[in-house]
Amino acid sequence: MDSSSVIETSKLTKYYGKQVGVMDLDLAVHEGEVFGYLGPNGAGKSTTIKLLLNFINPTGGSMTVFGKDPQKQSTSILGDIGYIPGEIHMYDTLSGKDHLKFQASLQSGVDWKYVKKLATRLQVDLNKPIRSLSHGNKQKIAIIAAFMHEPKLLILDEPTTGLDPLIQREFYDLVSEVNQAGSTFFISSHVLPEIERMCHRVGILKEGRLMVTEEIETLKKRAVRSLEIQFTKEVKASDLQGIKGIRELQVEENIAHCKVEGSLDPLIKKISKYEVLNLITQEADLEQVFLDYYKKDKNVA
Amino acid sequence: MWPKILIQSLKTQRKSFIFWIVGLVGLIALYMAIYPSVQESAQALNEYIEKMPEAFRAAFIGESDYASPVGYISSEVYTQMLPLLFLFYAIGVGSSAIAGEEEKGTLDILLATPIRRSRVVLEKWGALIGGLLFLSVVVVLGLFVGIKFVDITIALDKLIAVTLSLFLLSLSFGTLALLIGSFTGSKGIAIGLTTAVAVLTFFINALAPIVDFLEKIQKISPFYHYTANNPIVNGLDWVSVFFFACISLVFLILSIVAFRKRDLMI
Repeated sequence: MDSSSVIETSKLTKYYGKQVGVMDLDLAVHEGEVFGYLGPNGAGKSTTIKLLLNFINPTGGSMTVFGKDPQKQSTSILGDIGYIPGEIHMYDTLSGKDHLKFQASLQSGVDWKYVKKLATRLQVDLNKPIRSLSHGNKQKIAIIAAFMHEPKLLILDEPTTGLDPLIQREFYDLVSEVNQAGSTFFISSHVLPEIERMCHRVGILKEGRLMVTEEIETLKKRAVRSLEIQFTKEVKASDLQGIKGIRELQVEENIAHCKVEGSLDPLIKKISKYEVLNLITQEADLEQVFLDYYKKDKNVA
Repeated sequence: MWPKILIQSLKTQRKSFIFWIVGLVGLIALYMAIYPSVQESAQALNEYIEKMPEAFRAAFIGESDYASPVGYISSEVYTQMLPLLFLFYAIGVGSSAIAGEEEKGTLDILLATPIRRSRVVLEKWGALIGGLLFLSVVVVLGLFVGIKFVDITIALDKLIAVTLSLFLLSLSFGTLALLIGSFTGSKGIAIGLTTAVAVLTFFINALAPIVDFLEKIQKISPFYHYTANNPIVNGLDWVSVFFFACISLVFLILSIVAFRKRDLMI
């Protein structure tokens, strides 16, 4: 077993009755990385997290966290984990402060000064009762709870739900700082720009199966860009066909729309023969990569 | 280690404990206030009850003697009002302990920590004991003071004995609710099933004097053991205390077994 793996699963499988939760999951999250776990709702992201935290038992396969089996040694694992659940539920009658004090009492090594610092940073009032807080403010309390004991591994299930953009940015910075200090992150999300922003590596999950695990940079290289090319004169679709990586080509008079996977070079070389008025492209975001990945898969099927 | 979950569970009940104090003390005061008028017509009441059909009397009235002060406290307060209230509390707390938290989605707060599931169950059970002890103390103190106003004499140790019996009865059903909740994760099922068991065993005990086959199984009913030896007069029956201790511990151990490895719905 790879000693630098904080999380490792092998053929990890969970069925809920006949329904697949996750299937044959081979996952490795290395020490010190920020791993993004991406997929639409119901793909099995939360199921994976609940397996790692020993909330549910696998149907098959195996897993380790810090090299230990969560089913047998969960208590020694969980002291080093910070967790934000996908759905936040709290003891509503308590104030944020009392709630965090209680949670701190269940963990060890909480420095209350750090809690206060986090609260100031995320701009949340800890004296208000939790039931009076907005969804976003509850989320902030949950973030503090996950970070306050300075755990080695943070498992965050859709951590930025309900946060406004400014606080989201603050949260990204926090993740980056804590990561630089040595903590490993496992972050599930269906918000793609956020994964792109925070993560080094990403695993894409679909219907309980891990479709691909890739460096963010590599994915970006494989990314598909949408292009709009305006020529001075009318062009024929046949003139542009057969270029490497091009697809979904549509030509209307002097304007061509298409998508290009990977390098733009072959296309540029080809259109240099024509007089180009304008070339409009967008930075390929992960969303596009993601959607294309799904589409491709569907076409194969 | 400090039982933080136990303390937290009791803390969250602070407000409801105030209502329990007000309610219990108020009811005791009410029973004391009507005692003089009941005593005046005790003869008539006893005769009235005598005339009731035997089955009805067994099921709904029980052994009662309105002529004696102790009989009044025993039948009115300890056979009718208090078991109902204490069971209500115990079943509510027992079913909320695991299943309630699971349904509310707060169980992960306790479990995403280095704390064992078995310890969560134990501390929740401890909180049930704590809450019931608190209510028991309120009842003992309330009655101890209350009966002084109406010139009823019951020794404090007998008052404690009968309340302890009540405590043990409620603890058994509360632990059963904890068990069903730990097993199913459903508060509704825990409340429903436990209540059903309570009603069933109540009638087994109540109807035992007039139904032959029930008489044979009467001793499986916690309600039989609750009043065994008539603790308000004779003190506790230790066999019954042992019975309650055994079933509570068995339910507790089964709760831990059921909860330790179960898939949680959180």
